[in-house]
Amino acid sequence: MNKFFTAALLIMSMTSVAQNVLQNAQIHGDFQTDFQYYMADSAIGADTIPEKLLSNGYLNLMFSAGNFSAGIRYENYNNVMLGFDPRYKGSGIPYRFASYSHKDFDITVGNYYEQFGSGMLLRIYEERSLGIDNSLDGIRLRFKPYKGIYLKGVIGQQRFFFDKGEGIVRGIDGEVNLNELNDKWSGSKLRTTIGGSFVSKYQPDKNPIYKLPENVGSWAGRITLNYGNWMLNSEYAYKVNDPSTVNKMIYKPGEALFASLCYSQKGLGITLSAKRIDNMNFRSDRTVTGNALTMNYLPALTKPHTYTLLAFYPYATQPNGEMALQGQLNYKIKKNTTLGGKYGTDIAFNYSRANAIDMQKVNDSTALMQPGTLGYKSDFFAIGDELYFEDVNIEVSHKFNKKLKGIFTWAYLTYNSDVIEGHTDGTFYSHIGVADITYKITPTKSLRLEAQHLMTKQDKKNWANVMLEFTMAPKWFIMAGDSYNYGNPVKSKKLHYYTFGFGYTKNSSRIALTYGKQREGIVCVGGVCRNVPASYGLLVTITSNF
Amino acid sequence: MCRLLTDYLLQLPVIFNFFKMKNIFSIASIIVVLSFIIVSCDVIEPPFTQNGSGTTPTDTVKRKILLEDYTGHLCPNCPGAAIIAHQLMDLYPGQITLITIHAGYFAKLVSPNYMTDFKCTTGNDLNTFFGVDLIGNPNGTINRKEFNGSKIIGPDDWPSKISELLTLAPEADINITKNFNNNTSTIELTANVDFFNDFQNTIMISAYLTEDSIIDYQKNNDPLVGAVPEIADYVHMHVLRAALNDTWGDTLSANGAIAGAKYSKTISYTITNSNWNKNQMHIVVFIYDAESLEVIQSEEIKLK
Amino acid sequence: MKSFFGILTFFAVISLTAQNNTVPTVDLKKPDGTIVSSDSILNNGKPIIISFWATWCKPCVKELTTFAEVYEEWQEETGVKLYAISIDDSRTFPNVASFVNGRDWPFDVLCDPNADFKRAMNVNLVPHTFIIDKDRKIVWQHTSFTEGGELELIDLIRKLNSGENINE
Repeated sequence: MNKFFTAALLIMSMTSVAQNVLQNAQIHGDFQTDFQYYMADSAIGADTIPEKLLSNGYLNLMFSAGNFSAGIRYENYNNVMLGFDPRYKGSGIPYRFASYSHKDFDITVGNYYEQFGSGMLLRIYEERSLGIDNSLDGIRLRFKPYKGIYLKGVIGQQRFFFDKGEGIVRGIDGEVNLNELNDKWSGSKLRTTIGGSFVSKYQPDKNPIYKLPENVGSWAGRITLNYGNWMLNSEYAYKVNDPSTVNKMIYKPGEALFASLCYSQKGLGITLSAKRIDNMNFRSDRTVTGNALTMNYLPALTKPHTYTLLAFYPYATQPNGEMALQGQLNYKIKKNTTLGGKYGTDIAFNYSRANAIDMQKVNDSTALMQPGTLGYKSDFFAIGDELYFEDVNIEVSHKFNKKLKGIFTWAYLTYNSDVIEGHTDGTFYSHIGVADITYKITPTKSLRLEAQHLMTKQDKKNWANVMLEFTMAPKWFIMAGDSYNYGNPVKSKKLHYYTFGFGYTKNSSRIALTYGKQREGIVCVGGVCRNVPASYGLLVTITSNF
Repeated sequence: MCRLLTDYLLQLPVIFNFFKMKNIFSIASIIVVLSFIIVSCDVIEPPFTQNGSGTTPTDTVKRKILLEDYTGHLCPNCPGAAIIAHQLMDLYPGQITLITIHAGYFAKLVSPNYMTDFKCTTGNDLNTFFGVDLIGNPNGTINRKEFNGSKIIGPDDWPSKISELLTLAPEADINITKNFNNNTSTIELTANVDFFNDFQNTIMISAYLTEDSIIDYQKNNDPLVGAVPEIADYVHMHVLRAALNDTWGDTLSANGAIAGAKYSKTISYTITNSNWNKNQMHIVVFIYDAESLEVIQSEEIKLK
Repeated sequence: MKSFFGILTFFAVISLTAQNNTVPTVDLKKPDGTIVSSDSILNNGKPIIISFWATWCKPCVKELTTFAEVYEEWQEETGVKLYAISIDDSRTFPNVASFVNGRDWPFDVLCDPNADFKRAMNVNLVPHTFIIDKDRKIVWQHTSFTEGGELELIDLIRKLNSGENINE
């Protein structure tokens, strides 16, 4: 790589193109480093960490000149922080690319990220906070042969920590925007986009027990229709037999269907979505579990919650099968009405529900989900009896006067911990309320108070949380908060998880310090459960870009 | 709405016109797409299992793989891994040396039914060193060998990786002579190792003690394996109890080994835990490369 | 490691000739699914604000709600145009149009569902806001939002309009 860049530099400086290129040359990048100093606390279950200090560091550097661009990312884990997969170890350059684009054509070699449609077959992405990075290392071509037609082709191997996965991924995707394609339709009120993709992966079969398919192919079709205030979005995907650890080595093909209907006008938006997932775990290595080597993205049809207590029971899509639906309403009560007040009120309502799919035995002599068989039969539109998750919540945002505004949330969550976490603790039913109030002391100094309460008769019973944050625009913030498990039936487990934080932001650089205790959690993905231990210590986060 | 749709359908010929324009490229892309579709799909017809090329036991020296299964009695997915390990032992009789290591979060004690401590110092050391429970359970190591940058291998990958390794010829042969004094519970064993290949790095030798047939509770979430959510009378096999000569063993040969040479080591150990059933115990001896930690050969004998 | 330092030297040499970076060319989507290029982020030679947000990011929604309240005044005074880039991925992307219309936001919203534009602009955390000048060059940027932060922003736009250099 060193030789490549020196050669490129020499060649560029020697040609007359050089001056032109160098004039257009741009360098930009960003870095992020998180490090945590850990202390032991036996009450919450925080063990001593032998290294005492754990850190994750990332540096992105990108260079672009005209049609050419290149970049690298350096990552450092010495050692990786708690909660991340420990196979992120040491340091190296797991991401590097060079790309050239010219008018309607572009080619990228090296590592890249890509998504086909909604990602049901292929979504290659990075989500650093979750430790997900399944970048493809290979070649990507994108081509627009005609206006309104977008073609993509990818091939490569996926990143596996600092190495590469065994499987080879290849795929093609085409999308046609009918209104751009034909001038006669460009002014039409009905706007249509249709697309299709084909993705397959290859992994050799050296298994003496099963006859495994070495090439697993899948295809998907999608359509988006817009008419005035209405939008309909739908995608269907089909995958041939793909026995894997996650689906217990069954040979049933996989299917998924997603549809959403949205109506929006000034001040009102309604979205209804429904989804069926049937055996759609898709990885470039059939034996891998956890967050590594996934090829597709099956998002949960739920509202992501960021308030601490609301985020206690998050739902993750069950790739082996689920039927889910979600309804969302966004409404603005106009200002200068009784309910709206002087500035108007925003209301957001959400209902999400996920059930199992209906599974029937293939025949009388084969058990349900028996490895090495078709596994089960499932009617496409039948809904299973078992409830996985339900979330009813409403959020009201209101500005009382120039100085005071608040966001008030209430939610009722039903959480099947047996299925979601692989536990044996049953289903949890909880009522959660959150009040988030901001008071502006001066135009640049403000105080924010968060008060949260979680009421449940299961799990660890009731919790209360309070947080106070003082900010001085545009640079400073300081906060203090505590989550208290006051309802725990065991006296010694009625614990406080307090945090203190402080941060400074100058333009694009930010440093934040947090000191306190964090609860433990269990993460179960695809048949393997991992304990994320409780921790107590000081966390420092620094990010910047240039 | 309907009228607009029929308008659309009438305009379809326009799309075909486009294909005439970019003739060569469109034909090429259609060929690429079709070839993709033709080659990229393997649909397997039943039966899906095969009586894979296993091995039949003979008297000649065979390569033996050390399989370490990291588990815990609170781990609901772990009984499934034990089944895969035993399937492999049936397929390759005498060629798999299995050790089950109870360590980490899922091996902790929880009243009332999970108060048996299956952990041991050596198991904890190995679990911390290889970082297994932070990745998750069940998981294992195969000859502690690195595959694609990682030593931790999931149970569904054990058959492929083990069958590949077993195609290689054995690199050493371990012959064990042992003396067990029932009254003092003292073990004296001598391992005589014949090497078939040259080795550059220091060779270490380890001896571990395992116990079989311990009936106790085990969490389980697979109805095909047993009772859900827990199996009250689960038969725990190959449980690692102790290392006879510390977790990382002794040096067998500090300067490597030469093909055809013989090396031997004597190891002694006294069993102090009276709860262990000595009639159900095995001794596992294995040699490994001190630098890569990869196990070269293993051997197993009954204690009594 | 040797190659890493070689790369750093390469970048250092290039940076001697570099000036302010321009907005990269990346494909984005409108909330209705149509693909548009980031080259369409234009304002007739007047300043542009690009703000990265997500429907689940509370400080981002607060920042944009604040911008929505003062947008008309800002436009009248400085002619600035705001593009709010949503990084909602396919989990929350179907709700973006309904969210934006439901809150009646008056500015342009574009979507970046696989974070291509976010990566090209080196954004780590949202909210992250940029000021773009008439030559499509990034002249200022800021991460995170505090109440009253919009006052600093409009101040910088005024300075930019009067020809001052607002680079840090």
